[in-house]
Amino acid sequence: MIHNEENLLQRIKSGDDEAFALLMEQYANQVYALVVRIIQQREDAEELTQDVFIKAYEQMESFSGRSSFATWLYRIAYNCAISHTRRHRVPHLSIDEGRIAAVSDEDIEQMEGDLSDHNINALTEAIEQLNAEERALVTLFYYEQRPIAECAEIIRQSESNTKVRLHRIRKKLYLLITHSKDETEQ
Amino acid sequence: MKQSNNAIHRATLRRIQPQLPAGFGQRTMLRIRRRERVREWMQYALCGTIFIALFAQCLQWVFTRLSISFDFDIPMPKFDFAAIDFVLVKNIAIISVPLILMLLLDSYLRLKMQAHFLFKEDKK
Repeated sequence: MIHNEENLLQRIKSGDDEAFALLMEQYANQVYALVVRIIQQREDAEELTQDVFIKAYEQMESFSGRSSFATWLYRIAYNCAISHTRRHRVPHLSIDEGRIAAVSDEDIEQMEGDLSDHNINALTEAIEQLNAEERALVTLFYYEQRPIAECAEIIRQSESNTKVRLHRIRKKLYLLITHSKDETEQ
Repeated sequence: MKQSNNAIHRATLRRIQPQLPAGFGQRTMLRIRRRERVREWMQYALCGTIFIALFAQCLQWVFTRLSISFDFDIPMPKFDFAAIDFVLVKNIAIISVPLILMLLLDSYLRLKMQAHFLFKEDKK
């Protein structure tokens, strides 16, 4: 049964928690997917997803409807997951800025166009090595296929800044997969 | 779809495909309702405390207006019934009446809260 989101939100604001349960049913797996992909731990992800929905329920009054409910919910999930990774100090690989800047657009295009199993496997491993913010952006833009404007709103950055970040992530991924290729060849 | 020809997009699809365990919604709603209940209890407790504090102030004001002093210097009876004078009785009354009233108010609030939650559970 498809429920009208607007109607559900109205019902939640008037104190109907059954409406919130219906809304949660719609978004639970998407929020969980984002959280798991950011924190990379299934054990904590379920509890964190619960925290996201509890926060959303308690702050429902502050949801003005300027952005879509999904964007608003994703923003809460993003903030919760990033705070969790900061608290737990998850280690990540850092690459020298000079090396990132040296990667050309042609290299990135070539990497993105190579749909061979080997390249995709290498990319899958490389994504795991990105830091939490970068993994979140990759998940939102590539996996969830959210538009740039929405990604920018979720991570609270300008659209141009988000584009720059994505470009930088592509360069970083290129370096990570070429590094792994080099290691394999040696 | 433009991005389906993108290797990064395909790689994201290969990563962990998470699925929430069954009963997640029910567990979350249970947590939300528990938190709500605790918040309501806290509100009742705060209101009760404010009410009792105000009530005690009013009582003190009434006693002051009636010129009944708060003399807590209770003389010890020394097992001599003749020594128990009016001052002792008055002091005991001053201490016990607000205490009894507070206990009554506390019982009333507890019953009211229990009834409120039972009714709420029934509705659900």
